[in-house]
Amino acid sequence: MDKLKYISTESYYEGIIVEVTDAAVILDFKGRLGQLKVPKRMVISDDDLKVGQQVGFLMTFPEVISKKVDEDYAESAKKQLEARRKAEARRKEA
Amino acid sequence: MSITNETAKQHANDNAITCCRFEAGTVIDPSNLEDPNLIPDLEDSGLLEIPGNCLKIGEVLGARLIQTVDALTALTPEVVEGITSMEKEEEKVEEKTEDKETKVEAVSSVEPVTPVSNVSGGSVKIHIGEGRDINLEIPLSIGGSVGAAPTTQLIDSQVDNNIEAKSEPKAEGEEKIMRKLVRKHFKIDKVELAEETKIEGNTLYIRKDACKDAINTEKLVVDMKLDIITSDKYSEYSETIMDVQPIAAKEEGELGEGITRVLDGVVVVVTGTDEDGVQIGEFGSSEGAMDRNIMWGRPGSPEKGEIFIKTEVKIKAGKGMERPGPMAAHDATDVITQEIREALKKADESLVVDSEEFVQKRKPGRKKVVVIKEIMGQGAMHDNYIMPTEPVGTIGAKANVDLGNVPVVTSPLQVLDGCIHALTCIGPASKETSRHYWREPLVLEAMNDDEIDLAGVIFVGSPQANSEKFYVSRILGMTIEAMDVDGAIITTEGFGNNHVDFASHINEVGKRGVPVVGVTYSAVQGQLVVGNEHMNAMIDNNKSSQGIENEILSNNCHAPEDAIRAVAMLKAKIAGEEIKEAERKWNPNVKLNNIELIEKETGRKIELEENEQSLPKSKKRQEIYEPEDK
Repeated sequence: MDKLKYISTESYYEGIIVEVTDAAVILDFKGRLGQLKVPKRMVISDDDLKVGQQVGFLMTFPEVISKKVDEDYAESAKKQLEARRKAEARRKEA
Repeated sequence: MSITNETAKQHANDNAITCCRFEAGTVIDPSNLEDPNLIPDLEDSGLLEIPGNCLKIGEVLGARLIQTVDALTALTPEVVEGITSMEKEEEKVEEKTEDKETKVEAVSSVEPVTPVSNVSGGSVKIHIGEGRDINLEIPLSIGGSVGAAPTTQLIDSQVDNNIEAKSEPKAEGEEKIMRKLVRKHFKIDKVELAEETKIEGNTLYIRKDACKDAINTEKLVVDMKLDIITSDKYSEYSETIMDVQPIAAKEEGELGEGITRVLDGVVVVVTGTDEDGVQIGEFGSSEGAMDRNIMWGRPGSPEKGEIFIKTEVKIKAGKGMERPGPMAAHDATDVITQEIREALKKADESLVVDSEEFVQKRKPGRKKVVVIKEIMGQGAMHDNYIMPTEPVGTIGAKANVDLGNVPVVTSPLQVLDGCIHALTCIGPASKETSRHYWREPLVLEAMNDDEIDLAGVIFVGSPQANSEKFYVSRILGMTIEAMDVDGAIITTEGFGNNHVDFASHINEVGKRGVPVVGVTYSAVQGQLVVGNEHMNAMIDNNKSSQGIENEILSNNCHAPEDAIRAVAMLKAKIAGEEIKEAERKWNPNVKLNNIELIEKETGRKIELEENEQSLPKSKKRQEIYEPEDK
């Protein structure tokens, strides 16, 4: 946390739940500002989650903390991203 | 924000700061004062500076302002007249370390008007209003850490409890042996594929076609690979590790009693993706070189040198995120394990290299304690199979999600005999694998401690929605009430919304007057989202040097060192000893100090676990988490 220069930039955001699976929740930021996929257990709710429900949270702007590139991680994450896209395409075809 | 009379009383020894502007002549009452809980934040943000001669809340109540002061003014003798003297005698004890708790032994003939201990900046202040024959023993602390939001408690009522506890000891009855469990160990140093699954000498042969047959048992499994990983292959890439399982089979009796056979030197490791290559569970995955992503030797992880029978299950596309997917991966793997179990049952008795006996005793007259384990129950991989027929098997078991996540009471021996088959796939560092339960350090510690009477182990699932969380929590509360226990330790795994029910469980137990200790990973990333007055005795499982979830399997799970602290903390709480308030920010020294104090007090050497610093640094760790130029 000490690596952040702008540590207190957190501000209030709202979003809409656009996908719920047993493991993950996809949140669409209001204002079409992008999407965030988080584990279901990171979302706090009184009742079962439903697509279309609104969520609120505090967020800061992500800051680049090191100039170095982590190839291993990036490669593995890219592989996951491609796998997901493939899965998405497959779903659309079906 | 002004405070109430009650808060003022609780915080009599905290700094007195005005909450608004007040005119000269105002007689100070609680409504003029700022909430002491907010003061550290105000100080951090630079809005407030507290001078050394700042008066305490107890001193200024009833006093009169002689100057007009602005909001957020620290009250000092210069601006106030008619100060109430709180301290006739003050004793300051400087400590080198910041411990969590001070034991105060009082002699019963004394009426201590007492010790509001205010812990800050490494000093313990003990104020004694009036008294004689007072023995202070400082420091003796047993405590934990964690960023809970506990309330300060006055020691005087606790001292009374202490005396009461000492003067009315329950009569110690005769120990009663409930049941015994014998583990027979078979040593394996070679695993090979062959025509038939069998154990010969120290070699385990696995039938070549076992994998094919296993695939056919599960509709969702499209492919499965079986790898034998010996120590020279530890640096190879692996898909995310979903579970680590001991291989054990019943020779005699039901799960939790009789005789169990177990293979040493070999474990089953479940890994998998879907057809598109998406990791099962998707989150908190630990794919990568195994020797950089496994914290060796934790209760839930493999030991260095062990052979892995590693399945790489491929399930139908898109099924990794829904409950049946991960279950199918586990079930298919268990088809192979079950075949090994059958061979283990047939193995020659002469191959037994070691045997150990676990005895579950009830100890009447000693403090009756229960261990409550919150397990994941949100579905998908946040699930556990409970009570299979074979140790850590799947057959005969029911998933806790299907059981409605309600509390399930088991015996300590059932836990150690593999009554939990963990489907858990939370962050790898705080994931309790099946092997974790097989070697559950807290159950072992509590069971073998002769000062307490471990009544049982309760598993309670953690559902997704708050309404369900409170539903199971209320049932847990009633279970505890009916059990009439003297103390409870509650653990949880991972972090996130499971801390909502974790806090609620502690509340349900605590409000029934049962001393309760909480155990969780917290540190920096897993800070608790809620707190309550009963969460004042907490143990942090963190081992990572930075206090984060760093994708290293089992790194932040509770280990024997944490179990010792938890049991010691519970005993302290049952005895009515004061537990120091947690520091505002995570401080790893709190744990070290407590360890030191327990060692000093009990004469027992506590082995501290190594952390990720002992592993070869992966690029990920080197560059993302711990850049050396920093």
